[in-house]
Amino acid sequence: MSDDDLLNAAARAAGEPVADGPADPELEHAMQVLRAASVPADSVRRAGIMKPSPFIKLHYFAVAAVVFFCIGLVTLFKVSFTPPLPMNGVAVVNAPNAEGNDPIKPENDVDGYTGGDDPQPEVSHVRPQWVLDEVNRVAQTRLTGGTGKVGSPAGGGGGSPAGGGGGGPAGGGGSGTAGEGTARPDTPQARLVKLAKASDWSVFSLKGRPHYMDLKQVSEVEPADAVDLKIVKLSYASYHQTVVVILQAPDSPAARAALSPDGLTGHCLLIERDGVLLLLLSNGLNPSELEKLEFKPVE
Amino acid sequence: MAPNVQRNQDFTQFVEAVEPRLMSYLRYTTGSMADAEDLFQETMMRAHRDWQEVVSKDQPQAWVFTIARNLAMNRHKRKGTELRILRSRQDGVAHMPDQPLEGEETRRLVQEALQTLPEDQREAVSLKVWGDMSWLEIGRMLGVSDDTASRLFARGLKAIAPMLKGVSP
Repeated sequence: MSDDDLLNAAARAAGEPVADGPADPELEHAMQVLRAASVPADSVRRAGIMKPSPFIKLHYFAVAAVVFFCIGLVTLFKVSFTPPLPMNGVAVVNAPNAEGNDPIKPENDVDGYTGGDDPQPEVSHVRPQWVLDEVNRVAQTRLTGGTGKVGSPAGGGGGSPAGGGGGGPAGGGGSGTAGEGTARPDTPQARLVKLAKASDWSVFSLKGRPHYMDLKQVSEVEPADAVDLKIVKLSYASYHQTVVVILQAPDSPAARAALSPDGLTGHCLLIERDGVLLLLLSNGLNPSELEKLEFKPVE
Repeated sequence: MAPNVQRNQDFTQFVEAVEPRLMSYLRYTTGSMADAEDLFQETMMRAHRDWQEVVSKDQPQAWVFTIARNLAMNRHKRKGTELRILRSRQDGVAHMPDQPLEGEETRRLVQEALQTLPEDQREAVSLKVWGDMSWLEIGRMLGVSDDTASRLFARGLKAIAPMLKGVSP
């Protein structure tokens, strides 16, 4: 078979229109066998095309995971971000008779503050360690996402003061700070009222609810390392864990030594109200904001 | 009817029409049913993705054959000849249950016969038989003239005809 005959025969077997040339039965048969050997259709195979690939699903999951990861990262960053606290002690003393920002040293002549006549040079007053602990605890309380509680100072017990009687109803139910309503038994406000009644000096509390703060804890602490010094501690906290702690005691050399803002870290401010020293500590309010807080005696 | 629904119906009809021939072409050119299945899926996925382009062609089936052939060549380069031969030997056993018994012996003989051909002749025969393409289209795909495409087909068919002599269609 010549080359042209082969071309014509093959073309004829393939179904091409060929004008001339002989047909080749062998090629025709081979062509029929080839066509018969077609792979049959398979509906399952076709259905697989329309299904989304598992890799595409994985792709969606991966994208969703990345999005959630980014959102979580941003949220974590916002939650954990805390404005840097000043490392140096902010010692702003705005007591009417304070002498500027001079540190109150134990050996200072404290007559200028107390108005007393008897010099006490031989008495050495030191700051109780628990005050420093309290300052550090307040400074480290996170604004958001923290524990939301300010722990009791070492040795400081909450609850009713000695002799104040416990468990009784809040006789008289001394009204709380504005907006706090009537005090009920076993609430911080009730304990504050009891403690104030039992004290022979005016105990001050925050007036109103600045920064939406609530009274969380009331305690009276008598440091073992200080003589004749009882300090009342009021702990306020807002929803966002902004904490204000008030340490207060009647003005005295021992109280000045214990509550002096000198050398303390974080936001602190010492003020004086009606012969009572109030050391204000906060994790979120700076001294200028602390200075704007108003106080009233607990009745 | 919503455009997407119409599009899916058209595509489904297209797949049903092209499946037996494209699968046959892929099986006999790759020598592997598994490879043919994968390449068919990939080709159809691309056709679905570029459906607007496919339907705009004068010969949509020629377009998918071209895509399938390019994919097969890429896979062939990746896997290498040795692996392809190994797969082709295993394929008859591994995929036998998926195929109807009737005609499988014929397909095996056809595959063995086509494997004896040079690649260009096997391509020409496969494209003509299962692609139902003209000499011009086959020549374009193989990068040769239409006259050469017809000669490659004729020589390939002539070479395998004796091997298929005793096989009933």
